[in-house]
Amino acid sequence: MKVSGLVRRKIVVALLMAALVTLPAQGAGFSIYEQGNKATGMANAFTAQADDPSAMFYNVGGLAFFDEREFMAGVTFMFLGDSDFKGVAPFPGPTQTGSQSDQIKVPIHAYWVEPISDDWVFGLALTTPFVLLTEWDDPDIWSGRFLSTKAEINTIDVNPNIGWQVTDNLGLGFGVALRISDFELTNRVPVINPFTLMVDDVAEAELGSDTETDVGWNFGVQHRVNDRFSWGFSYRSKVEIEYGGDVELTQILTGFSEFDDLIAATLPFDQGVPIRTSIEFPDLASVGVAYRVSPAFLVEADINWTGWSSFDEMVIVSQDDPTLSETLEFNWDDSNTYRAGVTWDVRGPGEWRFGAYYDETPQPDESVGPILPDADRVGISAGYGRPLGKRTNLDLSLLYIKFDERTTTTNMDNFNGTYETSTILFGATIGW
Amino acid sequence: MTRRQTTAAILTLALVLATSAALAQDTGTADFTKYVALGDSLTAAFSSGGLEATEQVVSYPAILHFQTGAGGTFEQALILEPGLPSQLQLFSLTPLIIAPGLGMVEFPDLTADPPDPGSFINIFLNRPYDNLGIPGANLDEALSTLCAEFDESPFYCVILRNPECEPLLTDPIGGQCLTDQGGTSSVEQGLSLSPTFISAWLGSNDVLGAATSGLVIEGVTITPLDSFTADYQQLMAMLTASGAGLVVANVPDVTSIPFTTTIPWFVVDPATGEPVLDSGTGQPIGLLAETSTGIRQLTPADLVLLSASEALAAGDGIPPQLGGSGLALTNDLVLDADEIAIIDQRILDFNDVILSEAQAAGAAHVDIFSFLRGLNATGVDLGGIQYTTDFLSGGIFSYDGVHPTSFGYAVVAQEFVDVINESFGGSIPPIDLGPFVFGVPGGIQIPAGAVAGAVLTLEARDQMLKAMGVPDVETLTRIQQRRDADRRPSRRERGRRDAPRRERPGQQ
Repeated sequence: MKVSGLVRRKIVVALLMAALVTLPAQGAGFSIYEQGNKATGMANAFTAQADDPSAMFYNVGGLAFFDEREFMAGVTFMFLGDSDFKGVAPFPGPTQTGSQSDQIKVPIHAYWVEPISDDWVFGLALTTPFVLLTEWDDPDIWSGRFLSTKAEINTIDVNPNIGWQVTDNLGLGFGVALRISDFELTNRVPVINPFTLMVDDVAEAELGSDTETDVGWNFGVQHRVNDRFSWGFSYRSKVEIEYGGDVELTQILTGFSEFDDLIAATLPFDQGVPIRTSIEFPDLASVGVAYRVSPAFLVEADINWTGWSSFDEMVIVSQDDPTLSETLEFNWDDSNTYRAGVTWDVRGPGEWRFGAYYDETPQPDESVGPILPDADRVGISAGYGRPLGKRTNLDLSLLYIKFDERTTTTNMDNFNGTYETSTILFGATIGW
Repeated sequence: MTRRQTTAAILTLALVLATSAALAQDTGTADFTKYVALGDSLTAAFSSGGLEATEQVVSYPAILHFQTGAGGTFEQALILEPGLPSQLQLFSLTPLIIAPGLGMVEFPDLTADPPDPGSFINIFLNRPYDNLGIPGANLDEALSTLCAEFDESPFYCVILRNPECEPLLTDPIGGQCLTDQGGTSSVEQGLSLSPTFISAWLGSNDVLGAATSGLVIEGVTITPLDSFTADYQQLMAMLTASGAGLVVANVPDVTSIPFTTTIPWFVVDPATGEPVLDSGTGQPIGLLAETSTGIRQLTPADLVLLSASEALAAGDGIPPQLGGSGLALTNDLVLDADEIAIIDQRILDFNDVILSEAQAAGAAHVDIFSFLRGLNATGVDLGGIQYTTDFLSGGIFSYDGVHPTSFGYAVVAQEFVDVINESFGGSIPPIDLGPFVFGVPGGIQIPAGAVAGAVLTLEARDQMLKAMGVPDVETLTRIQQRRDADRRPSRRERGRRDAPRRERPGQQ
């Protein structure tokens, strides 16, 4: 009888449990409300106004008021990576720090408005409502690497809509959205090295999903009461997407050749281990009121409510080996965002916009971790729009988001510390 | 690594810990101005079969001292590589070989000018150490053994101060005392420092010898309850008389440590790691061993010790038809159900004494027994890393299967911090586990060369027993046989004596 068989079995179980890693703890952070750069210029307080084709995202009720064909397309450059971490005791402790690597994510938006009768308007929207990218520098020494070195979520919504102008002042809209999404999660796999009795990275695990789809819907009301005052209500439904995918392990050598050989002989390297899971993207309700203070100034205030409380757990199922399945607890809360924006018509063809918002985090302390460290945020925006020709116009916006510095001492994976993040978004949209 | 580099690496670790708790912390009604630790190998930070500075600088008392930010130094009898005895290392996985590392400590040279401490870098401290944990000390020895009695364990002369003893000058194990009197016990030396706070973790060695030697011999490897009780009362009387704040810890379940739980009671197929099943019953096949009730097959109620690995590798305990020698594992390599029952009950009895004495004295009480049970059940999860009590792959226990690793000692220290905070109303901050998980600059050396043997060699076992103050197995076996001869032999015992006993070559 050899002890080695027992050791091997125990190492294997430990390894394979660690390989199936936590899937995204999500945050307001990856809900992207920036789907049009006129709106973004005024901190996306746009539900009551919604007077360009991006209305199909902000308040589809506004679609009803179009009487000519229009197109709009734009991009937002998200400058990510200004995010730092410092540990607190007991783990990983103040000697451990980390920072995210600089990344640029480019959500796009595109809209086509096509009136089909006096009262009915058809529209097609392409938006990227949820985007996440967190990647940590120096993954070899990043103390959170066994939870996450990189997390990425992509979505695109293909969203046809109908607007109905009920009266001169009242518009209703309705649409369905096909959400197309994939995600990727990478982390390191830890095993205690019997030669040192300390932890070593023995593999990199990349969990990659297939591209999956599911359907949601949206609804909006916009009431342009008079020349000065309008209000709006918008609702976008939840979408739950079921993902297939797999985990692929790539070996990392420790330098202890016997141990490396043992690991190589027991782990399924360079082959996909299939898994299934799902993400329930939250529903979103918005209310806004806009008031024209003077010919030059318009003010709007909005409240968004995001239904993140439906995101309480994520079940990961491994088809090949039920012992590798696990359920992850998140316990998120519904959250509100408070927005205010102004438009300022200067002399000349252009218009300036300014805005600010306060975004509550849905993420409780125990979920704050390397995959997405969320916090309450403040956003400040500025934007400028002007016509470029007879039928074309350009909107530019700049948005600076500052997260509250946030410390967790109750993280569910016992990975505690302080996170500090800020983000800059720059966007440009052309309409014609 | 040279001695200087090793010292630097060890002191770097100590510094990392110090800076993270540099400010005086709120310790409630506990005063850590002068903290002294009494205990045994667990207090000294004995690990992987030897006492070595890498673990000593992060003994739980040293960590406790750092965490309270009380300031000043915390003196310990630091010993550089390869440790005393030479610490066990893992030489290879296939075959699985754990054996003492090569090399030997450098003994002090008192003839040098100035005297050279050798590997014992703190040996010339002219007062008692603050950490008076002595590997091998049971409760009675902590109370009464002097430096002069170096036969008990090699550590008395290293750790206890006595100007009459010149430590390690001529005899590497003992030292030479110029007088057979003088000197004081570890408890007396601790009290002589006028401590304001004392931790006392004693009693483990009053039962551990039975578990590691596989032989339960009353008064030799396991202490009788009445003498333990009287000694513990005496200990508490001395400690309370000092007026210092007190914390005591109880005895862990020595039948639930890797040394006793790693090797299963049944025959294992080396290719799969699975038990070999009896073709008739479909059940695992118990190993054959000598027990208190004669030679029989083991059952789930029995335990096989880690020290049995050499014999198992030679085929002992395994029937010939499965490729074994057919010879029974000797009594010292197993703990049968009857022996376990005695040990388990004794631990419960000892712990009852410790608890009631602690309560009577108003001392804080660390329930290590329950703490180890919790560690066995759930381990420690940190940021995706799982630490368990498994041998070799768990990270909490060291190569001897008895003592923790540095990480294990840090987790124990946190338990002390939690109890002290609760009992004394303090808010000592949590210990920074980052350095214990990720290491400090200095690195780990891969041992050169290999020592023939298998898993835990008998040499390693014997060395560890000696370090822990337990007589060697041959002596214990003779004692047990003498005792058995005094009783009327039963038919079963006659059968045991007639059973073939494997010759062990090279045993002294």
